[in-house]
Amino acid sequence: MATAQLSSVLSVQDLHIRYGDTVAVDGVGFDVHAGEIFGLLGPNGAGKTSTLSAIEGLLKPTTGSVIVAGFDIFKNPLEARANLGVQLQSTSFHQDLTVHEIIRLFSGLYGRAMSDDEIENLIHSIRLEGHAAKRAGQLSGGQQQRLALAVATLHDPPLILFDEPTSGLDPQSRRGLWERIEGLRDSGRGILLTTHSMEEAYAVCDRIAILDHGKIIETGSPQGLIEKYQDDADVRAASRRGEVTLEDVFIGLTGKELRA
Amino acid sequence: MQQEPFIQKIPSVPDAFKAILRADLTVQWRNRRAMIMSIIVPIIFLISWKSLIPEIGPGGVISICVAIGLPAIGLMGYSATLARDRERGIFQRLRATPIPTWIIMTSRIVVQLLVMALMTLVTCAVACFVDGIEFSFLSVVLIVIAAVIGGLSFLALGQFIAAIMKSSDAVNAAARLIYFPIAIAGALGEIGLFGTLVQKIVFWSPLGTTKTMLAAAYAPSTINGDVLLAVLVTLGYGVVFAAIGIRRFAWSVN
Repeated sequence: MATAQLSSVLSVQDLHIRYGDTVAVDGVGFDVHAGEIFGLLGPNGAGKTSTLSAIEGLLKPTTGSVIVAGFDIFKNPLEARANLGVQLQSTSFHQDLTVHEIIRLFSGLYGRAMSDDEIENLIHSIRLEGHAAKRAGQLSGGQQQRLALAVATLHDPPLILFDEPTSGLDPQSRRGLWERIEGLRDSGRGILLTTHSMEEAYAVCDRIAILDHGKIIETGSPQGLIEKYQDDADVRAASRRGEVTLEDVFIGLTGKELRA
Repeated sequence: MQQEPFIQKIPSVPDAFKAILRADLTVQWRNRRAMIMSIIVPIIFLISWKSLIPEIGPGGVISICVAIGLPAIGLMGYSATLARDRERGIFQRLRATPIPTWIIMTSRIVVQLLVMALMTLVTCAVACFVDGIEFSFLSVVLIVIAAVIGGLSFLALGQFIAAIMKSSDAVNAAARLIYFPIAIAGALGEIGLFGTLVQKIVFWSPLGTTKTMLAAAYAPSTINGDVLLAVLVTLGYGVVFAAIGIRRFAWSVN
């Protein structure tokens, strides 16, 4: 197995995606580096899902490029996906398969066939011991997310995508997942995370990009953006308690009107 | 200093196919109630039509019963699972893995073909032990082959429905709307009950050509040019429905 020095594990350049006459993504570009958590924030319909789909190679953009761990996702999709771990919004597993069977399935699909003992060890590491024979549909939301994270990382990918990973989780599960994501970052993985929770973005992201109407309107560290915009009139107007938060910056930049 | 991530290799096609086929077979087994129902449909026809054996012959009864069972699996079962798994995001998750997409669909088709073969063998067994119909080994083999060819055309039709309908409710409704006229016309149309035009349409419909193949498979000595034409027409239906169904199939509901 080859190794390589990877400073940028994901490079998105000048991405354009159109659905008929509708422009969903309009020139988006960013890099995610090894050992970094990069947050992609935006209101509903901003283009986050389309951007993620293009990064996964599931949606071909009108123009632009996506390079995952050195592989062009559209020219070498299998090699690129082998370097990509994915945790989707819904856990997206066969509800009729058990925890053990799901891990066995995905270990095979990632070319990392695991023995029963290895699978049991993995199940133990995500604190699902005693649930190995349970079907995915019988797990709680937090347990399903832990299983999804284990599946997303069982092939040691250099880049992991999290699409609103803590949506619907209780505070304990959410904190636990944040710690696991940070652990992955600390082990050198690059993380791309989408979220609607500004608290989450502030807590775990090293850098964020704010996406609106298909364009990146601002990029920086959460604290850096707060400092940059704390005197901005729109941001101050969005502030509810005097002290400017990341959510105030987000509302100030993207507006208060409700999105689809 | 940060740890260097590995550059991964992609899995071999046989390994990936084995993993996904094993999972699909497990899911099929866990949903065996639906599978048993699809096997029971032709058995009910077979037992209730026992008295027709002297009139339309054992090959006629076998061919109608098996042919009616095939769309229950290919049209209703297959299209429903495609739509359901698409809505649950299962395809989206599988497509994010480093395997070619055709593996995902081929594995599912193989599972459905195995169910069709099982249904065909059970129908033949019941025909033999309950209705007293005699089979040669060759005719059983040919009946299974004919059922697989006919089954492919119904799977393609199921794929077509799942491609043009997006929600699982719409797919279920459309599959049932198509299945019941097909089953009724298949069972009764060819005897001229609905007139000669319907008789001709039914004869050259996917179910009609499948029946022709199955009847000839029961009595291999009757295989002639018309039967070979029925094979070609059946394959043609499969190619047309599959081409549209694959081309227009959306892997996710978004």
